[in-house]
Amino acid sequence: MIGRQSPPARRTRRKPPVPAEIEIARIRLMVAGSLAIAGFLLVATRLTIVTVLPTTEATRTLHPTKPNTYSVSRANILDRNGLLLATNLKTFSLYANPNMIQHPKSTAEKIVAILPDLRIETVERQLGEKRSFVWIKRGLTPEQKFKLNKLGNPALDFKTEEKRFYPAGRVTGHVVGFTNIDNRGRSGFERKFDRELTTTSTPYSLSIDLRVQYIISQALRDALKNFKAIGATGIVMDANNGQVIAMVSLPDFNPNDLSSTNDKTRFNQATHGVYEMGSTFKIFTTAMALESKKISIQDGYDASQPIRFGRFVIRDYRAKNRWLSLPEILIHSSNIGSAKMALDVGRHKQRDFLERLGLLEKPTLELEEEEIGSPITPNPWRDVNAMTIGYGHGIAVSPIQITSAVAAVINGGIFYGPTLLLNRSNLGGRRVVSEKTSDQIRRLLRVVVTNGSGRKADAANYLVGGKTGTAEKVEGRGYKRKAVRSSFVGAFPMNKPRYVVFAMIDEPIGNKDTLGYATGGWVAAPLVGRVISRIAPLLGVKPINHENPKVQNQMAISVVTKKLRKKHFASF
Amino acid sequence: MAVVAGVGLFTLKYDVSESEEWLATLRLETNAHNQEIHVLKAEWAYLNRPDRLDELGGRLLVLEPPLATQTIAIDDIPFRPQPNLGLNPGNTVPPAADRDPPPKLTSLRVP
Repeated sequence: MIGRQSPPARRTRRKPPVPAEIEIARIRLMVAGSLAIAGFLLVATRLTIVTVLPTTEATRTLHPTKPNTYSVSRANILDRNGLLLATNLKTFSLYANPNMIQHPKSTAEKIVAILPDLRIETVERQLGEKRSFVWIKRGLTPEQKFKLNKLGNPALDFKTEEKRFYPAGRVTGHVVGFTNIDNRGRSGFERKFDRELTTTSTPYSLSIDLRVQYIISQALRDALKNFKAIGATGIVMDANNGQVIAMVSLPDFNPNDLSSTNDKTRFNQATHGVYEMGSTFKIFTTAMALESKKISIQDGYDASQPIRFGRFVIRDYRAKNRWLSLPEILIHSSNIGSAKMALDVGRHKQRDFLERLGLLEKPTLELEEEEIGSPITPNPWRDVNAMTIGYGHGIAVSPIQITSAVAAVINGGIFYGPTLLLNRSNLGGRRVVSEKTSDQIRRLLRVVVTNGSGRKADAANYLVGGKTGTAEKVEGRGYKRKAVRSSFVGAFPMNKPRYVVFAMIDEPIGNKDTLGYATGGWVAAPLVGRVISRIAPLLGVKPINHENPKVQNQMAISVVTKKLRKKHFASF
Repeated sequence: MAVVAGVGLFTLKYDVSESEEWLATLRLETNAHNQEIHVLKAEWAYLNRPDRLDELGGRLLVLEPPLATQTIAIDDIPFRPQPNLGLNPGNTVPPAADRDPPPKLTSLRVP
């Protein structure tokens, strides 16, 4: 204001002259203000872009993560009713850093006090090593882990791992199989479906019924003990779709404790072992004969003389020494009659027939190739082979094969390959014998149980039918007379078969209860009878009143006892 | 406006991160529970294994496996005779011609 004059009136009208400093300050303020506004505008624009406008690269959408299911690295295995057969559990594994341990001896003592199955010397040696990592023990329980943690030793630590657990233990050992310490399937279903089990988390349902599996394994265990046998195997199969309901092989192993396994216990006799089955094969010879229409149920063969064929002699066990009709051949289990019958049909037809029954090639089953045995068949197939095969010698098949073949001839004539899966996709059967032949075989097998060698299998009111087999064991080039495999293959209820039951005892020794006999009729048949009477209610098979005229009509069969003279009927 | 937008955004952001934290906790808990359920299921299966049930049943129960001879089909149970109302003297329900004769009950044990 210095040196400027302005009248007050004009001062009010005109702005006073602005000093340069203030002008500069104003400009600075303007610049700063507009910069700030520009900044805010930038933020606002950005905000609008980010929040209002749809997706840009800056926006982040929250993807809802998958619903939380507790997932393990290997799917569960269930039985047909949803009972748990195999599952993964988290376990803890103890490791140590020996470099951090000052007193290996006292530390080892403390560890062994908690884990008594370890040896103190071993642990001490491990802890004394010049290393920074050593496994002490894998697969600890939470309780053991807690106790070890309480030791407060910083050199000890844990790693969480998964361990396969089999709640049913040895009962399902051979079917389900087991995994190794790294959770890879090493036998049974676990091995065959190793990839599938590790890639999905949906559980697999087997066709096995744990209750039936237990009942038959228990029955076989008793037989093993009572007859001082060296092995036993049993199968229960659904006759109308090939599903394996139970499959047991003894001696067995505990899949939760791999130290209990060895080659002998791991061997699955039901699928891996192939055996000469003996008389149970007569079922197929008879079915083949009836199917060929060369022989009717009234016909028969002279079984009064043993057959001599080169150096072979075919004899009957407890020979009747007379003409036998076709039902009688089964009832008395005549080798001579069956051999003649097989020869009558012819070796080519026999081979074709057995091939259709799946007895000449490896069965398909959800097990690794190595655990399924290949049948041993004669080559070339001569007449003498035809005769011996007629009564089940000179051909070796696995129990699973004979079970599905029997299912086929009695279920109306449709063969289904055996399966361990509850929901098999390709459930196609093929016809092997006619309805009529199948019906006749059902009647014949029933009469074997009511009046023949299989009497002891007759579980009350379940209309059991079946055939016994007693095969001498091959030793070197000949047969061991005293060592036999006794078997029984049966089905129930025979008017409309639902299940086939097979049992085989390896080298049974007769006892007081069996009057010293160790044949299929004395050893295996009663076992199957007991098993059937226990599993039938569980499987929902209704008791059948065999005095019912309708049922009697379904099971009636006329057994000719003398050649060409029909008045000697014995109706059963 | 900028201030309102900013405040709104920050509130939202904190809300979201808080919810996310809560969700993570819940997930952890669910996971832990699922794991416990898994272990319990395995234990349940182990405790219900057939050999143990068989042993316990034999020791603690007086029941035995049922036999076919102890059961009877529903069709085999005869109807109760109708009361005689005097309209049809002596008339009771005649046994149906196609009805199966009842099976023989060989033993009926009552524990």
